[in-house]
Formats: sequence, structure tokens, C-alpha cells
Amino acid sequence: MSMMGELKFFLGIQINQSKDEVYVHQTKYTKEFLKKFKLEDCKVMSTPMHPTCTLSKEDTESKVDQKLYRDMIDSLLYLTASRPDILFTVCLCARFQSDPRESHLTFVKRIFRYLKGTTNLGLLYRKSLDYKLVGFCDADYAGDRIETVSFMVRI
Amino acid sequence: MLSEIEPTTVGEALSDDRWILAMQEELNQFQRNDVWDLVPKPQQKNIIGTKWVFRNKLNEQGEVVRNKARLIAQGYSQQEDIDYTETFSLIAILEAIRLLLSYAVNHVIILYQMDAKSAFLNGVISEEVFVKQPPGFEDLKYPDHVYKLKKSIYGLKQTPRSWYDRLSNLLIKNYFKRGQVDTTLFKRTLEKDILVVQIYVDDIIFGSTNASFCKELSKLM
Repeated sequence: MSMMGELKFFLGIQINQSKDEVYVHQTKYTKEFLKKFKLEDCKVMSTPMHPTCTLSKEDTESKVDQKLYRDMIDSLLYLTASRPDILFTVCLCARFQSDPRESHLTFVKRIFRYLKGTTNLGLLYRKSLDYKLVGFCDADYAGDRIETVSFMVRI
Repeated sequence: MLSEIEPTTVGEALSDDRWILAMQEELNQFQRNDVWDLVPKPQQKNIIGTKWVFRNKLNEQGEVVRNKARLIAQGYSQQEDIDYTETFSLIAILEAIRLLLSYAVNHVIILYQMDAKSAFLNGVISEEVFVKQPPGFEDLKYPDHVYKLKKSIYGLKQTPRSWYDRLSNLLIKNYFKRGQVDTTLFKRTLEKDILVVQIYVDDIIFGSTNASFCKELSKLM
């Protein structure tokens, strides 16, 4: 067994520890997959998703490479470990993996463009006097316009 | 000097001194952990093939820091009940690690990480398993002999389980309590001080309110 020292880099997650706070981010990981999908020079977007645009099952649009689509979702899902801001959008896209079309891919690419401008965001845990664990749960039966099933938000 | 390319075949690796060295290092680990014995080939036994895998280890800047050769068993040819009985894999969920981080910062604990060198070679194997000799490193005197395993090696179905058994037994023997919900979290309390250990396969994160506990733990490992 070898001693490695302070926890800094773990499973692709970067961890900065200081006296009163911990910063968890995946800057390096994000940069790597932007490069992998050849999107490192894309234009920056300020939000991960258009506020009014919704996704639906498409039959008429042309099909896109399913392997690429899944690969992108996979990379994004891992990133949600430190980026709850994209969690909703990624999970939405993930539901079209069985038959991805042009509009879905454009949607996913928008997340990448958002990430391009916000690469170094992460989670900051501060020391606080009021320390407790809180769980949230949300169920919404009719809110889903695609298949009218419920979805839950996990924190 | 390190090699920048990762060979895909043994032949390629055997033509590069740096990779030969890496393979030798891996076999030294086998020796040190007393992994196997060379025996005559038994009749009517499933002999599992072995294969070399070559990887370059990168640091945070993306520079090659190590050429690593790993000898793995082709575990997909193992048959249930004959070659293995139970499988199990331990991983901590990422949420648990995040919780640990926030817990640590609130209790003024600095977290450290430890990496178990050739972790999986430490697990004791309970079944009788035979593997072929590593390609490129066959015994000159007994080229037809096979290795009988004493410890589990990478690639076998039961390996993660036997490693977890070994590690958790060690911790429990040293007065650690296993987490009831998250079984990869171990905790030891002594008066006001606390020592937490989180296992993620061969990566171990630990921290304590008392710095001397950490030193003690790293010695124990």
C-alpha cells in the first residue's frame, strides 16, 4: 500500500480542500470531453436549455448516430456528480437514446455549449454552524408532456 | 524515459525495453504477493487464458508518469460453481463521497487518499483456479506447465469480492465499524475523535479529527 497524500483528484473529480471549504469540480474532465467530441471551439451559450423549447419523439426527422448520442449522454451523466445545474437537461435528453433524431442532438450540443462557458463551475461545501442533511423529493404526474409518466428529482 | 505509446499486442511491447521493464515490474508484484505456483497441467480442468494490458498513467497535467503493464485473466471463460461461486463488486456511490466531503469540512477533517498497489493481488482465492503462463514470459524449462492460483488476479470473476473481504476483515479487526447502509464506509470512534474510511475498489479515502489516527492507519495498511 502506498501513501498518496491529500485528497485532490479522485475518479476524474478534482477536489480543492481548504480550511473552511471544499470545492468539488470536474474542469479537467469537461475540457477533455469537449475535445473528444470536437466541440472545443463551439460558441458559448449562457443556459443549458432553451426556456420554452421542449423535446418530443420524432418520426419525420433524420436519424443521428446513436452511438455518438449515447456517448455524449454518458459523458454528461458523469459530469452531473459536480454539476446539478445540468442534471435536469441531461436526464431529459437521456430519454431519447433509443431513437435519437436531429433535434435531440442539437439539444445535447447546446448543453456542451453551455459547459464551454462554464467549465470551471462546481460544488462548494462551506463550513456552517447549522449543519444537517436535507433530502428533497418532487413528483409531478401530469407535468411530462411526452408520455405522461411521473418524474422525480433526486438530490 | 517513458514510452508515449500504448502497445496493443505483446509482440509490440516485447520490442520496447521500457515496456519489458513494466511487465517485469508487474510480475515482481506477483512474486511479492505470493500469487501462484507453477504446476504440471492438470487433466480436465478449465485453464484460463492470460493477457497483457498496457496503459500509460497520466498526471493532472496529462503527462505520462508511468508505463503500466497489467496481467489479467480472461475471466469470461470461467464457469459458475466450478471456477467461482460468488461474485460481488464494491463501489461507493458518488453521492456518498460528496456527503463525506461536506461532513469533513464541517468537522475540520482533512481527507487523504491512498491507493492500494496491485490491490486485487491481495485477495485470497478459495476456489481451485488454473491460468496459462503469461504471454512472452513462459518458463523455459516447463513451457507446458500452468499456474495454480493462491491469490486472486485481475480479470477473474471473484476477484473484487475477495479483495473486499480481505480489506474489510482487516478494518473490522482493527475496531472499525462497517456502515449499515453504505457498506464501503468504515468508521472508528475513540472518545471524541473519529476516523472515517471510504473504499472505492482500490482507492481509499480517509480522514480523522485526530491527525495521529491517519498516520496509524497508513501504517496499518
